[in-house]
Amino acid sequence: VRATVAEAARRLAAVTASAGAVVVLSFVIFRVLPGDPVSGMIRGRAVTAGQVAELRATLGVGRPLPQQFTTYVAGLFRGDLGISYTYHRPVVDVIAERLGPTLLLTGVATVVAAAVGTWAGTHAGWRPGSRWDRIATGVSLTLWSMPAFWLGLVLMVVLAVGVGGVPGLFPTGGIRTPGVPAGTVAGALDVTAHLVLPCLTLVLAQLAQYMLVTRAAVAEQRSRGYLTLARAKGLRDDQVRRRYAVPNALLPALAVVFTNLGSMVAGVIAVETAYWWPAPSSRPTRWPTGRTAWPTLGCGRHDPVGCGRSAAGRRWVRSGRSRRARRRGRT
Amino acid sequence: MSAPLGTDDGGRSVLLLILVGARISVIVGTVTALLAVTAGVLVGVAAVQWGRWPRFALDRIVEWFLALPALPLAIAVGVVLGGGLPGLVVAIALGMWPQVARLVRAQALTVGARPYVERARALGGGRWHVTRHHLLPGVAPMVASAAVLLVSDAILAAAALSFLGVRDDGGSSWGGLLRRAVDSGAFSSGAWWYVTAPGVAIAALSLSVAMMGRDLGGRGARR
Repeated sequence: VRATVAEAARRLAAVTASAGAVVVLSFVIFRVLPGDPVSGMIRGRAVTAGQVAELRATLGVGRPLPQQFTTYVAGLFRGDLGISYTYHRPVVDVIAERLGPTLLLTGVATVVAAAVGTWAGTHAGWRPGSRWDRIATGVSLTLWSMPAFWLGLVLMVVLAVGVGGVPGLFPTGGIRTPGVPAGTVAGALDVTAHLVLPCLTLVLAQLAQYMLVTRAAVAEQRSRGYLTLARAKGLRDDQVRRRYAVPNALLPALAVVFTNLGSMVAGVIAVETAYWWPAPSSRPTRWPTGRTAWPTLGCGRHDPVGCGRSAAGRRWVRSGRSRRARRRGRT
Repeated sequence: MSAPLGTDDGGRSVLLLILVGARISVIVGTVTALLAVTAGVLVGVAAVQWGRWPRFALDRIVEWFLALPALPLAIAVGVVLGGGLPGLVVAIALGMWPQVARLVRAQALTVGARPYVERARALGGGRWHVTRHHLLPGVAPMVASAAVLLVSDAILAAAALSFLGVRDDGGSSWGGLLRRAVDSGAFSSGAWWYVTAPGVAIAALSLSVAMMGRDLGGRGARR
């Protein structure tokens, strides 16, 4: 019991230290580096020196940095993230009203991507080098190389606007049609229709990581002795796969799903922008030099690329090394 | 057929715009990867070669940067640095160097424990000598292959940042082109060529660079 408590305390200390570092870093990035919110707000506008001074006083950016920092940290503990420089509303409110739609989008997309990716990955990994394996790997790697927001635009052109004689099937953006009441069956259907395209975009962009991880895990199980036993029992090939290989291979794949949940939330930004999710007004014409990005700094794990590319594809690319080395060794 | 891929809203050839934009993608990709690799190798090797406490401190710093989500960080830093090309490069590299540092640290630890390094130390080789003649050559093949993959990542990240408007270049880069296409309403008016071509270019470049990294990885391991 004592060991567990000590371990928990150690973890808690590490988490606190990391959170503290994030707070300090986000402050440093916006305050100590050159450029302040006021110069961003007045960019390209005619203002007098008096107006600038007044703006600086209202926003509190003219005070000494240590004082600003203590104000910021004290605000954090009260749940007060300050006023957005862009929307002129409390940052907490701005985030809260976007959180639901973002979670809905990423949640649905993650579940679908994990299901489809795992299915494709088990079949590809069960017969490495087969036609299905080559098709699935090729397709997911190609999708992995595409910028997610662009994929979104193409889907929008094809499925929402319509190409040639094909009419547009889905709405081009936003989360609901004006006039359709929320909270009714029609409202729910409306949101679902709006959800399809951004969700499909995210699924396609995320597919590779689930597919490649499962593929590698299943391929690794293939030579295990317990599968020989299962075959010796007289089970059919797909029964061996379904009942023996896949359950054992799913654990590493599941780990990837959970470690990537955070980066999904962070990586969804570009897709949300492309689809005006949840509303057209949420799409900034220019990224504000403001505090609006601050809390985002804390809510995701590391996503190396941002737009949804993950470690799995990279691992696949790297694995070429060992596979090639093995091949060389044999010949 | 003066414009094989069609024209943009200003009547310019999309093909030419893409050819010109390739320069920015390639420059941003390579410079970002070089920056990230340099920083990563320095920190990674330093973490191995210095004593226990500097290593602990460096490891924590790397962990903090790993925990920060890269895209919001890049947006924030890119905006703060003023939206120029150097700012964009720094913003993307800031999210990439910790991966390199992790990789280099692990590999340098392995190399440093090998008998021939021990022999070099026993013969009186100092920290600098061991680093230059044993550790750096030891991590070089892996770093080279990782660097090429970073180029591919950086190309995608730069496109995303330009598209999000962090860097307003008036449409000279591929990401900026896509943004202009969207802003001018190309997709709602059915101008599919304006939206498709830059994206295909980004995807093709990114995929081919990733494949190069894969091949380089194979070569590096063979030595």
